[in-house]
Amino acid sequence: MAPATVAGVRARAAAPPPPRIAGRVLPNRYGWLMLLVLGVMLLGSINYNNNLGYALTFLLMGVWAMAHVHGYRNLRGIEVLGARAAPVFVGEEAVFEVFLRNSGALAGRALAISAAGMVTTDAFEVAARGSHTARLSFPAQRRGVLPLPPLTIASAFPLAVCTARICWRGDVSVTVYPHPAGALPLPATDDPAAAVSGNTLSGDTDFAGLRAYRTGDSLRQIAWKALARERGLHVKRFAGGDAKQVELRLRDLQFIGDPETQLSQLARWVMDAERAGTSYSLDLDRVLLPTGIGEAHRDLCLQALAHYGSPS
Amino acid sequence: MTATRRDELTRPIVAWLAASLLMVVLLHARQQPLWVCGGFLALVLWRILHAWRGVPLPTRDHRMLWLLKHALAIGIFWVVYRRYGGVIGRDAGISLLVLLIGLKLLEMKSRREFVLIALLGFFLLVTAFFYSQSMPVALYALACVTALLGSLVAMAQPGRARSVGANLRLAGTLMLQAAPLMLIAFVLFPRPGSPLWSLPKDARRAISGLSEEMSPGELTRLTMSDAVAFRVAFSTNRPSAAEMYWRGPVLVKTDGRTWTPGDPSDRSAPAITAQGVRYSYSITLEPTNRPWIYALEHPSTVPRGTRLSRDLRVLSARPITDRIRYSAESYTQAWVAEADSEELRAALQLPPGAYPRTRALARQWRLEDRTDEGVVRRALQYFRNEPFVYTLSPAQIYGDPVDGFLFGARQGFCEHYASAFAVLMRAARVPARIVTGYQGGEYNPVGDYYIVRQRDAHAWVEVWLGHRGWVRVDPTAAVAPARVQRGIDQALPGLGATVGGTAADLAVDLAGWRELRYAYDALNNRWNHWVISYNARRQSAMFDDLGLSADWRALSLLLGAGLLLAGALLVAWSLRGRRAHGDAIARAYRRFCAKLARRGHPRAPYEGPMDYARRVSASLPAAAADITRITGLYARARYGQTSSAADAQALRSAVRRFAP
Amino acid sequence: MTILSSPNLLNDKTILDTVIATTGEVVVGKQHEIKLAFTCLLARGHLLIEDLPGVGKTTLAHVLARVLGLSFQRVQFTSDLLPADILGVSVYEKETGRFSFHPGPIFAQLVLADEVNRATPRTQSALLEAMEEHQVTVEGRTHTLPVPFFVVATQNPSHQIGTFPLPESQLDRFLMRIELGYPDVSAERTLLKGRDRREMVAEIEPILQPKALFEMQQRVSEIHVSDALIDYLQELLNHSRRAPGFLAGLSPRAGLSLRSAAQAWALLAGRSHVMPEDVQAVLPAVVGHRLRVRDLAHAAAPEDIAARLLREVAIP
Repeated sequence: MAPATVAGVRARAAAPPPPRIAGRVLPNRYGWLMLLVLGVMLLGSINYNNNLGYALTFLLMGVWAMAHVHGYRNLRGIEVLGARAAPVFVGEEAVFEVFLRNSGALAGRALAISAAGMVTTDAFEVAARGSHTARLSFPAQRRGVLPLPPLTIASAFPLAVCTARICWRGDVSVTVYPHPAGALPLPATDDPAAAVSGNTLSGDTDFAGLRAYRTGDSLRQIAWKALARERGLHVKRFAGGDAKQVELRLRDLQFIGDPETQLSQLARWVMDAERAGTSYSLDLDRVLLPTGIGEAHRDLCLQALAHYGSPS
Repeated sequence: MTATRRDELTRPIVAWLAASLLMVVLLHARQQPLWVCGGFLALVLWRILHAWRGVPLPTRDHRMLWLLKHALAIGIFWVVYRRYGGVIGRDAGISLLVLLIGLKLLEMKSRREFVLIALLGFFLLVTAFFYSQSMPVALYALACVTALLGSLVAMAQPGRARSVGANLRLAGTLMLQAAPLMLIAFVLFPRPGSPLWSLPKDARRAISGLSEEMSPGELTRLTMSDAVAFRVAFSTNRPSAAEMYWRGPVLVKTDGRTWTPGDPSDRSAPAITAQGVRYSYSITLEPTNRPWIYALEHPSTVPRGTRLSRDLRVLSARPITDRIRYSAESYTQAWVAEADSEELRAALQLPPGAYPRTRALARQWRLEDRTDEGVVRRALQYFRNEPFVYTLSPAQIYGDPVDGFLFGARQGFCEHYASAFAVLMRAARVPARIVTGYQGGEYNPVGDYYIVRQRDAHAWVEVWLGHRGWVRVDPTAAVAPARVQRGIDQALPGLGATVGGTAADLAVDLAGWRELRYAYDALNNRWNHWVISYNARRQSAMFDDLGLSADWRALSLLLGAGLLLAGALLVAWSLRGRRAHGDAIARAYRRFCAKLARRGHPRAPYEGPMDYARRVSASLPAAAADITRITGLYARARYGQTSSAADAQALRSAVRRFAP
Repeated sequence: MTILSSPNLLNDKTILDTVIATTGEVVVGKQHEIKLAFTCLLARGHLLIEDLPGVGKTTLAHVLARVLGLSFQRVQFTSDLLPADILGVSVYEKETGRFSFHPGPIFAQLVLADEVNRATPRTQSALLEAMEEHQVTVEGRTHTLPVPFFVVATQNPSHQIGTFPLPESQLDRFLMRIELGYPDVSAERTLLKGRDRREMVAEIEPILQPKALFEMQQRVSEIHVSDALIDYLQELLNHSRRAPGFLAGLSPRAGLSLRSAAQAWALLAGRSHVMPEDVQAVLPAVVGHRLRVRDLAHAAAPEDIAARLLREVAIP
């Protein structure tokens, strides 16, 4: 269902503000708990004038403090280069790839990225002067733009008593296409000439190549010769003005359901037309996409559907 | 992809924590009753079986087990209450802590509980130091800390398993890095002179040692103990073993069986008549819980904070609850020449009606010999000539203890001889009193000091000879001269075996073994001196020596400054990366670029060396030849096929000379 | 500055300088592109020239063949061109009663595939497969292509009507992709004043023998690539794969191509080892057609993509 190639992240028109990175190391609740226990141990050592008690308490206090240094060390030199995600349909998971680089001379150990407290990655390590790609997935629930929430890169390594974290807020979002749904068949081709030639096999000049057979392809388009040469089941694709062509119009769907249902139907049609090898144009009243076919065209149309009705 | 179960604890880290806790509990096994340690082990096994075999834990899902757990918790409280008569004391508290940690282990599901239990483990560890602060315990505790920290390290990396060794190494690194901070805090933390609140009753264990009472069998019991009473280092020459009488309580009153001190006197110390050498020495005294310290007979100079009593004991203001070290001076050949009539009368007291045969014998001596010295000589002759036996296991004496000993069993230990002798003297109207203490000591050639153990406990007698004063008489020496000349081991061969001594005692003849023990004892002595005995007094003394005042404000300031400094160094050290990539060649070239950058021509990171040379040469025509040459050398050295050490050397020197 | 280290290399450099100068007399004002073309050839790669008709693509290919003394064939790609028209056909001979193979124009040392994007994908595939495998299989029999074998394909900008742009996966088969562009003013003037280019091509005498070229190609693979340079190459590859600005990173094949192209460029400069500058010189031509930037809205020229990659990666 997801588009085969990774299409671009929609970049906001205005120049994005520089990503902000602010880092800090603070004791977490375990850290405070440990301090409390150490405090009790110190009181006991003072009261009993127990020198080994003092020594152990001071040693652990030193360890506690050094844990913070290690925590700082883990995130030192870690930079977020950016993030990206491929467009998805409503109902799918939007997977953001976050690119991290460690410009420091020490490995970033046991890092984890979390977004808005909802999603957390497994712990990973970024080698010194190395890089890492973390993946965060969010359910795409609404059509339009799904922005990447502010990210927190944190590490509680090595003692779990303190958390070092940096925050990153990048202007990155993913386009969420409407869920392709609807039972209506593709509109009839409205070019009579194309309708006729669509029924007969076109000449060699229009032949645009073969592609693998998919369920739903017309039997007429199967490349029997290729099949005979045991090259597998392929369908012929045709290019040029003589091929089938449909117009997908929003206003034709005014009688069904709410606007979202209409957009879903259009998305369905786009996918169907693409699969059937039929060129198509998309008319969204205010937005008009001329006839075309292919992944780039499909992505354009789906993007138009995704952004339909949102202030541009 | 997204980990929703990050909080889950994996089997290895549960096992790790359990093992670390077992290590800690093992340290308590010596003091805690068996059922506490056994119970803990059972609970740990339950948890481990759950992790590996799926044996159910007492959760709400398993109603019976859940009830069992609560019953266990209540049972633990009840048993501890019964055993100790409360749950507040030290031993009771530790029993409770151990078992509750075990129960908590059963409930442990999340990281939060894991951390809590690990922290309780640290707490349990520190309580072990209330019982012993010896070097082995410290080393073992260090291993426990490493294990516990290692378990925390293992837990702190969700979804990633590093090797056990790597985690332990990291724990070790953390501890090493924390060590300087610990040292600074240990030395500089302002130590309070007295406890913050009163200690629980059982905080101070009964410590074996001399008491202020002496009854038959008392010292015999002490000789079973190998424990160190104190260690003595002589700063000048040292006396012979026979001269080493370490003076303790002086006993004057007797009820016929038990000897107790006389009435306390606040009069100042008597003058002593001294001869011969004065010995200076310092003593490291193990805690006794008694308000006196030991010194060589007869002390002339006593440490600050103590005073000499009328009967020449060194009294301290407070019981000695911690190991202390003090210096004193003594003359071994001296007599107390001063006594008033009341003291002498007390030294003649005998319980009415007791030991009739002894009195008769003394009276007979008195009639035969009019001088006090003559009576003393006769008594000693009596002990020497009659078949008396010096033994640790005397035959049972029935009836009157002194009569029974002198005329019946004739077997005894020093307390028997001392009390019989004192009674004989008093019966002959010679004032006499018993002095208890230690005699002799084992010389440690490694540390150049004497070890005085509890089994060196001894009792002797002082008699008042009018013109000379109080004179020491040791009747034991008459029976077993070896005891005072060469120590108790020589006087009682096989003592180690009879008292069920350690393998070390049985193997005393093994070559080298004794040497090793001396070295170990010397090490222990240092450990005690430098680590365990460090306290408020030593702290302020140290600062006095440095000419600094040691009030808590100055200490806090120093502490803060020291920690800050050490912390800064540690941060810098632990953040240092491995040396920047590149060898001498790359470094030389970087220096070259830096020189040009100072002339306003920095190299862009992506700029190739030849492009850079071309660009800079155009702006600095005067240096063009040098730039070209250096770049050529660099290019060949770094990118060429045959880069030799000579190339690198040539490059380095060319860069050094380069001055654009 | 150049570092010359062996007489052989010195010799190579002299010869190649002559070759380039001679080519430059015919194809005016395109010194860098000519050098890239020879680099491509020395690195045993195939060349894709993409530009408008009439800027000298064909002339360049022709001169290359002449100056190197290579056998030359030109195939004009059209939409009705069939694979057999390129590869050759097996013909049944009545006398012998057997099939005999009549080789197609691809059996030449330098093949100019003109306007390759006019042919159908099927025909394109036939050419590209032959390029990749250095052999042709017809009717079950394999025929090896001559050595050296070098394809120069030209392509019109893809937005022209009636074309089948080479798919991305096929573009990878070309070591380099260059654009010629319009000549500058002085070059244009030389062209206008000068003689007919076709005549000039015909007059060119071969400077190099195919055997000598083969040996030179051999030496290219022996040009030293130091660890430091490998580090640089890896940084470049990794950056293209990880930095968010790039749509798809460079493949391992692209990395190998980059290395051999840089080696050839070093030979052209008469150097026995590769410098970062060599990599930088060839990189735009080598990766321009393999790399796409993320930002479709500001679809950048391939050179810009390459420049960005170079600028973002520090030389280690």
